[in-house]
Amino acid sequence: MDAILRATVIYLVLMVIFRVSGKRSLAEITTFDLVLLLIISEATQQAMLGDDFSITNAVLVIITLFFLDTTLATLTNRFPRFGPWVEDMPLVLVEDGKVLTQRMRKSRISESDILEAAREKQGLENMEQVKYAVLERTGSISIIPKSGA
Amino acid sequence: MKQIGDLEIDQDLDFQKREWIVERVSWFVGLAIIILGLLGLFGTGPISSTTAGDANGPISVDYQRFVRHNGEMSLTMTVAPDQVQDGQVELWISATILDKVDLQQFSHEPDEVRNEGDRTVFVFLTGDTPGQLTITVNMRSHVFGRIAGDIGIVDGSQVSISQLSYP
Repeated sequence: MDAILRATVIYLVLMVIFRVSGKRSLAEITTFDLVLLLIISEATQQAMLGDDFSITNAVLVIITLFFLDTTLATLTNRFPRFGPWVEDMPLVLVEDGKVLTQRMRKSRISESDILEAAREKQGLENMEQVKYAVLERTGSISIIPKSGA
Repeated sequence: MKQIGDLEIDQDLDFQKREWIVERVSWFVGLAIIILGLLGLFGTGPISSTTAGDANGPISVDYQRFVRHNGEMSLTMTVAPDQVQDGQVELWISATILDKVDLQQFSHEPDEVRNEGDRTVFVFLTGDTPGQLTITVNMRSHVFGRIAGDIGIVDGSQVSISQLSYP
């Protein structure tokens, strides 16, 4: 019983924390973010397993986590209103060549982040060539170039 | 699916605005949790440390109001010099406390331990050394919720302690 409750609480707490820290929190994993993720998992592990290192406990925890994850995915699929709260929504940052600075500021995205994505993904040279930039639910930035760019 | 220019996209600005508000509020909640944590609401810290009994009285106990399940905590009992009789002090801790914690270590090992119904008596031999006797007990809570009970000197004064054990 213990193991299932622990796994459920940790799952929900982590989900809330990651969700409220914004789209960009750990999307583009830098070296430091990787270290941070490792530390978070280390801190989580003890609370989730307690002092029971048996296979039964580990299996129970894993099954609980998978069950919660698939259930949540099913729920978000079944109830579209519930979906955004769990999985977020995309946000247009450049609309038809127009840079929407207020949205960018609120999402903690700078123009250089958009230019970086434009260079990396589309080989674009400047903002002029960007038709749309979308901050996706995953936190990555998609770029759609103007035709002919 | 919505259409924004040529983009077919699931954008919802009302939702997005609510999300930004939630993000902002959560940031302050996080800050508050960190400050309260530093102050000791979730474990050791200034608002958690407290003393039961008068420091100049026969017995006083320093302990933490807030402790954590499976976390280490300590409790320091100070006994005035005039409470030492025949080179020994007999302290008792009520079972309501001992049932909820695991005793880890005494700074001064008791020379004798005996059960007396709803309390356990620990006998400490002090030898001829005068002065107050200070004993620290390290323990771990193994419950969630309130831990409360009394600590005292056999045939003498007693103090009450109350702790909250977080999950």
